[in-house]
Amino acid sequence: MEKLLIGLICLFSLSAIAQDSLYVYKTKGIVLQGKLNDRTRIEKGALILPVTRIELQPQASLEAINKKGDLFSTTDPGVYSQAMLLKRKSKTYPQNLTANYFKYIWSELLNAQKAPTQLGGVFRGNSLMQFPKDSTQITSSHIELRWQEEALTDNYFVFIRETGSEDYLKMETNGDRLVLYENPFFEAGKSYQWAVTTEAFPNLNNLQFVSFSIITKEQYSKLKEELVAQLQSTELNKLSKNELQILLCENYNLCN
Amino acid sequence: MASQNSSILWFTDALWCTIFTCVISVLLAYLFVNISILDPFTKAFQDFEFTDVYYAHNFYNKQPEPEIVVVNVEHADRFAIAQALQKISEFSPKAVGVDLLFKERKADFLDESLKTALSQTPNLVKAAYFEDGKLQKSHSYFQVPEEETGFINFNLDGESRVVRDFLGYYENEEQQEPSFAGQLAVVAGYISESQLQENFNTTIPVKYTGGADSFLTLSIDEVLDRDDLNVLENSVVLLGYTGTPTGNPYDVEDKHFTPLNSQFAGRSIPDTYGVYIHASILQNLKSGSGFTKTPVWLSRAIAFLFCYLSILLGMYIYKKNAVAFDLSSKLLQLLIPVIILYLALMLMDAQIYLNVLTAVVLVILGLECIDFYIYLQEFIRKRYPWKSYLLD
Repeated sequence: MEKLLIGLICLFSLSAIAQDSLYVYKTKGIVLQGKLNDRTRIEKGALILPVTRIELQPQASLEAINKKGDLFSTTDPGVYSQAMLLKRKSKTYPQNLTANYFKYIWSELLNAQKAPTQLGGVFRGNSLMQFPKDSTQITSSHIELRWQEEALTDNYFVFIRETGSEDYLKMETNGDRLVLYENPFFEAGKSYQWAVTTEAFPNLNNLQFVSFSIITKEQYSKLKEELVAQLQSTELNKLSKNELQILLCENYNLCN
Repeated sequence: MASQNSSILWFTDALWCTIFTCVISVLLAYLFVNISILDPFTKAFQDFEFTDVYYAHNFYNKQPEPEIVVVNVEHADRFAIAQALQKISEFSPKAVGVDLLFKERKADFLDESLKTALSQTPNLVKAAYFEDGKLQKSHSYFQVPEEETGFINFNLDGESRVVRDFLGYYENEEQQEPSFAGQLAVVAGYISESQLQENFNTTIPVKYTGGADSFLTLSIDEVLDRDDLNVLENSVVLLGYTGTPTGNPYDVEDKHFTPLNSQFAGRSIPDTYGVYIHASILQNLKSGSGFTKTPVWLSRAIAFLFCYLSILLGMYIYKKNAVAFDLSSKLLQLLIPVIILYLALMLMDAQIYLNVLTAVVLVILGLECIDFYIYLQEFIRKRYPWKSYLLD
């Protein structure tokens, strides 16, 4: 009788695990599993159990699949349990065939889908750096560096130097961004150069550096006023303060 | 009474004009096939189907498959493949498919390792292929007693380079052979051998569910390095090539054209690795949710009907106002095919596959033929009495 009871309990618990079991289907960026002081990277095909604790770092994403083929995904940084993931079911079916089809026909009629221009060559030594762009003026106390991720590369090496100096600040990181908060390496009024590479020990003479300078809040306000006056666009007045800041940063390399 | 006679004449004339259109289209098709200078058109139409837009523009249901796992062997040597097979076997998968052919022997140690691993892998299905009508397998050294094989050819009839259909079981007077995916489905227990032989011995459209995105893909290094591969338990594992590194868009080895190609007409590069096509076929067999293909006679009958209705409408407009017909015929030639394609996509959504290329061609040609039909009637009326809806 006892054996039968134990057998039944085992059977029920097994079926419960089978129903809820999730597997990692796809990951992007840094996705960790385990306890706080014993974390490892979670990889494709790994089983996510009810006790599994998953941590998504910024810019990371995770897609998990259950045995029925339902997908569960998250892109928000944070800590997740299996139960939390199960609440994030993704929709895979196209919303409406009729609407999608006639939208497609309409775009074809308007010739909205033009083929992209073709380049007859290959890229070698493509610059990964995205922000700050060359000759950017930054006023913020935290410097954010962003770059383009390369396929199949996890680790990136960031090199920063003061313009004209040979002293480098070197950092290794995962992902596609790095933020430096009130770092003593930087001083207002000085100009710096940065580069990112996938090599730990590159030939620094051959690295392509991008320059940016740190300015004070007062300098920023003055430059902003000058730039807005120079542009003489009535459209600028319609923008909110935040929108104007983004526009000046993205198009005129003046960033707050 | 006059009105009734006119209506009968209208229906009769439309029928004659439809037959006239069909004759013209057959003559044109004959010219395209037999005149070498028009070969590019023939080839373009061989590889083209309007319904490819269903996949190319993402109107279809993308369904990931948790039970089929693809292992990319990249350019690993035979020893690494042998180790991977042994590692995979530890997790007791339902079936293991090796979409690789070992045509010749290499080094003794490597070959011996691989042979041992192949013979020790339970529920193994090996790849074979038809060449000049004969079934070819890996080198005899790698063949084991009572091994299961399946052919890996797509488009055995050689009619198109785009993989739209699959044949589950091939048989003629001399030989019988299951397809690779078909044999895997049998070994995995998704279908019985008799079901494969009886229900899948004619070509059936492949229902793609996303290609590479639908299947969990592990590289051979991941299989060898990791121990947490519980995902392989009770799965069907397919060993094949999916680029170096995995998914490399510039690698075209064993890559094929499928309707998933976003460039569904004109020049493009192949889009899907062969192992994913086998995996998609296997998924169809597992779920039993493939397409029902309408027979050729039915698709031609539907094409005839659409052509007839278009001509009926065209003649009605012509009778009312010849100028309006000239203006509207081009619009109709655009609108009616758009509607036909829409209906075909709706049918595909309901798992029914209808080839609408003939219908679209006949509708466009039919509306164009109304003018020629009028000239023909005028020619006939000069010699013989002939009642006409359009001319009387």
